[in-house]
This record gives sequence, structure tokens and C-alpha cells, in this order.
Amino acid sequence: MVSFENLLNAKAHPSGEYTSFAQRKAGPERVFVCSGTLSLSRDLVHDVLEMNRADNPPSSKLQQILVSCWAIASFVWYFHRFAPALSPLLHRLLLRAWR
Amino acid sequence: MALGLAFLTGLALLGFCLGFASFGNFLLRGLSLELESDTEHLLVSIAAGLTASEILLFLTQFTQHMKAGCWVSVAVLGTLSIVEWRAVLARSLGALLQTVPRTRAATLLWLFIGAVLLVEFLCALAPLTGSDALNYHFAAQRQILSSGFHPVFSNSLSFLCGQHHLLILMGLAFGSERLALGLIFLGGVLTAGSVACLASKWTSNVTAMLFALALLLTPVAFWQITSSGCPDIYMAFLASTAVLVLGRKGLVCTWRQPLLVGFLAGGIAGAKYSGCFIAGALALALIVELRTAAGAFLFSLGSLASGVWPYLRNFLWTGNPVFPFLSGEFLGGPVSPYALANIYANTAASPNRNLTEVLSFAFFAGIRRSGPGLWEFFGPLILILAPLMFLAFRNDRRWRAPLLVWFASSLAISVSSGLPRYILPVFPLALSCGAAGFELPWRRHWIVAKWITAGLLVLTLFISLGGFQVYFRPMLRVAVGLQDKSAYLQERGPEYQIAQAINESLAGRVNDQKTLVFLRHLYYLDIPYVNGDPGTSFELNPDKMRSREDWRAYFAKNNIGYVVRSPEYPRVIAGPLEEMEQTGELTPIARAEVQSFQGKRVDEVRAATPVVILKVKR
Repeated sequence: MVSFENLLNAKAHPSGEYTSFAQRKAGPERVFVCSGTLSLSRDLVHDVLEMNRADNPPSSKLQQILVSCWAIASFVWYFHRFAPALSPLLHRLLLRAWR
Repeated sequence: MALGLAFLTGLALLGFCLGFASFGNFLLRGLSLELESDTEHLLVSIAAGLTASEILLFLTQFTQHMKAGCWVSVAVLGTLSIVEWRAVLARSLGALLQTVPRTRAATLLWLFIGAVLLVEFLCALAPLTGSDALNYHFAAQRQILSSGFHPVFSNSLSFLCGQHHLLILMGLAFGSERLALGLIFLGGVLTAGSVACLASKWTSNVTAMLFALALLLTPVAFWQITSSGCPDIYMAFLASTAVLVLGRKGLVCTWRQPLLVGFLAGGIAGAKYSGCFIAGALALALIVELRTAAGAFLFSLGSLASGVWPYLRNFLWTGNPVFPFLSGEFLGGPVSPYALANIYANTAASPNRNLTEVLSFAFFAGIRRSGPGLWEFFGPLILILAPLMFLAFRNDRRWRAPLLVWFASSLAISVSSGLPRYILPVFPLALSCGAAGFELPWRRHWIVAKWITAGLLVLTLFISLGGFQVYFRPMLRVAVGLQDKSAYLQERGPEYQIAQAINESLAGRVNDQKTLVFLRHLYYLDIPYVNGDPGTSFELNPDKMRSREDWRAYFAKNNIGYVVRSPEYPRVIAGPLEEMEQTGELTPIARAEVQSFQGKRVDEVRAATPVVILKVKR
């Protein structure tokens, strides 16, 4: 549960710290209640709701596996692709380290 | 001495930065436009002020008083700095407070970024050795300063110089190559700042700074910032700031936002022809977001005001605003088909035709078919984080704008040119989206994914750091005064020894007579010269230079008194020139043998190269 005051404090924070702020304040459930008489910008409410949704996906295990495999495969593929350009550089680095 | 000069250059750069910020703040105040944070406001102010200053510099060229024009521009910046100092100081302090590190890890990261920036700054001040810079980025500006603002048909690439080249012109006008190089470095710092600013919209400050560091260590970026001598990095800065303005919420239906986005987009289009694709992508993003005809009109107005100038110059000189492109097919202009084919081969080398190529290009993994080069190495970060970026995507303007500009620009450049380094201007946008993707596994508590991506990020940074330390060592040695400038250039400067041999042989001999040279790297020539390479000169069409009579007429028309052969004449025009040597119409007056690179400089293969100076017999 996050109070209006905290949401408004979030507005005062640099936007870069928005997510970490919400995580710190809201806990795992992250239920944001918008009520009361304080006026709140529509953008801010939208952002918080979007953040809430993004942080609580319905299923993520498969996504996590796919993302991890992709990361490793693309890293290997990229350096394999650039090997002709990188090998002279690597050679020079190793030579320098040897000396 | 060297460090003292570096310090003075640093102070001058700070002064220019404050001047641009003041000019921009003055303009933004006139538009009653405020950005979301002090950092954003400051960056956008600098971008707007820089673009406006370049317009001023461009216009002074037409007066043919370039040096006076540069002084006037500095006076304008100085005056505005006095007028705006309170506002700029407040914004700067606000920006500093926003980015101040709050944890020990963040402090260490800040210090490391500071150290990288310091090294890159010193490297940037090393004597110029970038091949394209010696050919036209710097050489053309030097020629404008010495001979006036005229078309130089003997240097076909001089027509590709855009508005950011005026920063080089200004540095050289003040007699300081260091200042010119430092101004390019400043573009790198501002671009790194804009990456951090964009990324901080959806990540923590530490992640945002980590991705700013990734930019500074990316080989393409540090090459552009330090030794390339090419001001294209400013396109990246302007693209990021234009997206910052476009992503600003709460300005819908006002006329200021499209006008300012257009103004910044014009600065990109006016830098390089490929910048038109990026400006077009910004226009597309603006239309998608604002959906008003008035917005599109104001965008066009702003972009024309800031970016039309190089096109106007080329139109006035040749009748073709995009000279030399489209010259043979649609528009006019005095081109030689031989040189034109050479330009197309170098700038539109390998347009991508299939989807796989286009996609790998868009994710900064594209390579030229002729073989990858380190100057095209963006690193695998964007590719690694691609799926995470799309999972992190939120359907709001701050996400849509950078993604649309990134993909539309990449697609257009991929199918038109296919040169990976041309998408450098949208690299900061991709990096900032990548930062959001990087943080996603942390937010979702994906333990495996977060450690894998973090590990690969660190590994990529280490590899980049390894490349960086190989690259910067020689530059750093000369920049801090451990090596003599001349010795450094003899060792690292392409064709530098040939240029010095020509300078020494002809010093004092030439009066108003010019020397015909067949060099690519013209910047270090201190004598009046004409480039004779038909591959890079529109004046020398090999089809029209088949006989000795043609050459005699050419020498007389261009007042050429000397010809330099080193090592041989270009094959397509060699015949009549060799005949002239045999008949005594070209008489050798000096010879030298120097060391010069053979093939690509990166291979570091040197060989003895003869330099023969021949006098033209009248």
C-alpha cells in the first residue's frame, strides 16, 4: 500500500529513481490506491499503474530461460561474427601481456 | 607544456559549453519551454544553443571573413553567458544534485567514468591522424580558411561537410587544432550525458550511468570522440535531445514542442546526408505522437531553419542541394563519373536487402560484406538485451519515441547505405532502451537472467576496455608530452612523411603556383595544392585527360607549377604524365624516400616510398 504522500514524494524524486522508490515503498504486493482529495497528475497515476503491471507478470519462468539463452547465444554469435576484425587486436593484447 | 595546453583547452571547452547552454536557455525562455528536469533542460539548451551558433557561423562564411565571424560568434556566446549566467548556474547545480552518487558503488562508478573521460579528453587532443579527417573533415576547413569559402571541386568529399564541421573551422580559425579536436570530444561528453538522462527515465541512476560508460567504451564511439576528427558524434547528441523533447509529456497541442524538435532535427540533417533519414524518423515519431498537421508544419519550419544551410550552399555552388549525389541521374552539377562512382562505393557500399541483414544492422550487429572493421564495432549489448527491451516496453510516449526513431532510422540507413557507423546517431537511443531491459530481470527477481545479463555486460565492458587501452596508449603518450608531435605523426599519421617531404622540398619555391598531388591525406600540406587523384577529384575526369595536350591545358588553367609522384601516378591517368616526364615537360627537381603505410593503417605495415617532385615546364 502506498499513500498519496508517498506517491507525491515519488514525483519529487528524479524519475530515474522512480522504480526503486516504488519497490522500496510498496513491497511485493504493490497495490496502489488512489483516493482522497489530493489532486494527482494523470501521467503519474498512469506511470505507477504501468510499473505495477510490468513488475507483476503472470508467468515468467519460460521467459527467463529464453532471455538467458538468447543473451548467451547472441554474445557468442556477435564475437564470432567480428572475429576477423578482433583477432589482430587480441593478438596485440596478448603479445603486450606476454612482454 | 602539453598538459598545460590541455588544461587551457579544457577551460575553453567549458566556456563554449556554457556559451551554448546560455544561448539555448535564451531561446527556450523565448519559447516559454521547460523540460522535466534540470539535466534535461540543460542538455536541450546546449543542443539548441549549439545548433543556433552553427547557423551563425555558417552565415558568416558567406561574408568571406571567417576568422572575424568566429570572433563575432564567440562574442555573442560570451554576451549571452553574462545575460543568462544565473539561470544556467541554477540548472547546472540542479543537474549536479540530480546525478550525485548516493552509494559507495555509485561513487566508484562515477570516479571510473571520470577517469575514462579524462583519458579520452587527453587522447582527443593528440595530433590528428584520422584518415577521413586528413582527407576532408579538417583539410577542407583548412582550405576554406586559406583560400576562402568557395567550392573545392578537386576534393570531392568537401561537399559532404555539414554544419558541425563549423566547429572544426572555428577551432582552426583560432589557430588551434587542439580546440577543434576538443570540440569533437565535447560532443562525446554531451552524448554520454544524454544517454544517462534518457536511461534515467526508466532506470536507476547507477544503471543509467553504467550505460553512459558503455557508450564511452564502445569502440565506434571512442574512435569518433577521440581520433577520428569527425564531428558526427554531435548527430547522436542532437538525436537524443530531440527525443527528450519529443518524449516530454504535457506539451501536447502546443506549438513549441514540434518547433524545437524540428530545430534539433535540422541540426542532424544539416550534419550529413544520412542525417536526413534520422530527421525523417523524428518527423514520423512526431506525427505519430502529435497527430496534427500544424505540428508537422512547425517541425518542418524548425528543421528548415536549422538544417537547410549546407543544402543551400551546395545548391548555390552546383545547382544540386545534395551534390554530388543524384548528379548523374536527376540533378545537375559538375561531376566526374569516375569520382562519383568512388563516392558511391565508399558511402553506399552495401545496402542490406534481406530481413536478417536489416535486423542485425538495426541491432548494431551489422558488418560490411568487404569485412568487419573495428570502427564498426558497437558491441553485443543491444543484441543481448533485445528481448528484455521489448518485455520492458511500456506503451507511452517516452518509450515509443526513441524506439520509433531508432528503428525507422536504422531501416532507412540499412537499405540505402548499409554502413554500420552511419547509425551511430541512434546508438544512444538504443542504449537507453537497453538500460531499461537490463533492469527488468532485477525488478522481476529473475535470478539466472539477471546474473547472466550482468555478467555479459561486465564482460563486454572489459573487452571494450581492453580495446580502448590498446587504442589510447600511443595517443596518450603524445598528449601528455612523453612523445614529440612530429615523431608521433611520422609513426602514426598516414602519408604524413610524404606531406612533410613535399613541404620541405617546395618551401619557399612556390609563389602563387600550385602543386598537383595524388595524396588522400591532404591536411598536413602547407603549400598551395590541388588534389589530382581522379577518384577523389571532380576536376580530373580520366576520360578527358588522355593526352599531353589535355594536361598542358589543365596545368595552365589551374596555375600548376609542380607535380608530385609518390609512389606512382594513379593508373587511369598515368600514361600521358609518364610521357611528359620522358619528353622533359615534367622535370624532377627533388627526390626523397620516406616510410608510409601500405594498405590499411590498422595492419601497421610500412614500406619505403619514393617521393619525386617534378617541375612543370612552361
